[in-house]
Amino acid sequence: MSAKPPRPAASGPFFDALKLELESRARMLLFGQSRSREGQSSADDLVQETLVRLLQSYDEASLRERPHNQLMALAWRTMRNILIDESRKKAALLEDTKPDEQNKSRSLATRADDSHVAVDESITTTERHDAVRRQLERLAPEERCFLSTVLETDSVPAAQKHCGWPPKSPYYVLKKLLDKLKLELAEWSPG
Amino acid sequence: MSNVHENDDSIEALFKDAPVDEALYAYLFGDDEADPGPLLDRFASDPSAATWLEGFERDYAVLKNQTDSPAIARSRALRAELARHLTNPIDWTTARQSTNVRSLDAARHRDIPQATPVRRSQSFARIAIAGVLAATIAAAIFLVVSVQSATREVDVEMAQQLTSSIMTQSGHGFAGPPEPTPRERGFLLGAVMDLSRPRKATGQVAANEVDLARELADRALDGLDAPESAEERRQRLLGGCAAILVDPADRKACEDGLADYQRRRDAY
Repeated sequence: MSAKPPRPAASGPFFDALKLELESRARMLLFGQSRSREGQSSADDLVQETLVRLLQSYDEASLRERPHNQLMALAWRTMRNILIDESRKKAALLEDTKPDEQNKSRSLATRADDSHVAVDESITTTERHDAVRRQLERLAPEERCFLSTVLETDSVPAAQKHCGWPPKSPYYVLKKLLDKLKLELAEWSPG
Repeated sequence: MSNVHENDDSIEALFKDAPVDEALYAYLFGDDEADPGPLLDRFASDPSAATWLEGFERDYAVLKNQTDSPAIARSRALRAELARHLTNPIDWTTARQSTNVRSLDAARHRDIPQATPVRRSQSFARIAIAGVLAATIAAAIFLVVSVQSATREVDVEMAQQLTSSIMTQSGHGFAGPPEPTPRERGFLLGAVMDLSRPRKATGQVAANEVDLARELADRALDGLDAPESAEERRQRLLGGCAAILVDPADRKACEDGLADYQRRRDAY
């Protein structure tokens, strides 16, 4: 998306509302990924590209007649695919060094010693870090693997794949584990 | 996690009552598979949502030992959009209404090409053939469905046996019994629908069927946002997969589970 895509001809209240929805989704998708790489497309570019692709693939009437949730699910998938395509193109062209991936590969155990990590002083204490680690060590091996990987990658699918556990309902299990950890750490109070 | 807050009790209460569910965790820790729009809509009517998200960001930062991460960024993005959503909601009703008027106007003014007599007769023949075929297929489907529904009446014992594998799942560690997958929810939905059909049974037999239907509904809605009352939960479930699940993929899996139940019931 080096050049801005042509604006779609579609207009009117329906497309005005759709654009607002898409802008909201674009912001969530872009800002929610903590991406700050140079050349990252703006939310506006992403919205325009999404509209162009939607109108290229579906006629206007087909979009208008879709139930709202289906329309937005389609728009979301389209938008996400555009970002994936964009990332792949940049990786191929610029031999992206992928700083995000480097961040993900750091282990929880070594993170406290990493002086390059920008850490908020108000929450960074050795005691707290040790307490978190102690609580992780108390968990069953599969639970520890799953939760540690989630904490490293922020990705449940990646953690489930890495640990081969839990067999199902991983988000529910994560909720339970985080709740458990929250309770355990509530007992350890720094004041 | 609440140790980072000044008032543990209030944070505990927030965690207890917050709209924490699988969809939110899937958004925060997922791979962007599902549209987060329904979450926004749902949180817009929940005044505690933004506060919960703020609490999550602080607590998770402690666990991560860093103040920024994809999950925290997603939470912040969701919170920011929630604020926008509340102050400037998108009026789809008006947009859709005006759209319909425009579409209808366009349709009325559209030029309709005149068909030649030969083409018209050909299309009549095609329509007639298609009509006969459609009527035949519909009759066949009706017959099959009628026969199946006439021969398959599910009682308590049969429903218990069909759903036993889902109802007796064991847990994993302290996480307790895992909540049913969308497919299993669909499977249970089928049993609840069967047990809730009007039938001849009365007295204790009918009461047992209703009790089991409520029990199955309770399990089917495990982990989802559902009413407190057992009867209300059963009624919610009877609304079908679309009434309990938001994600299209989950709904599809639920429908598959329902179909699986019907197959097993018919082969019982």
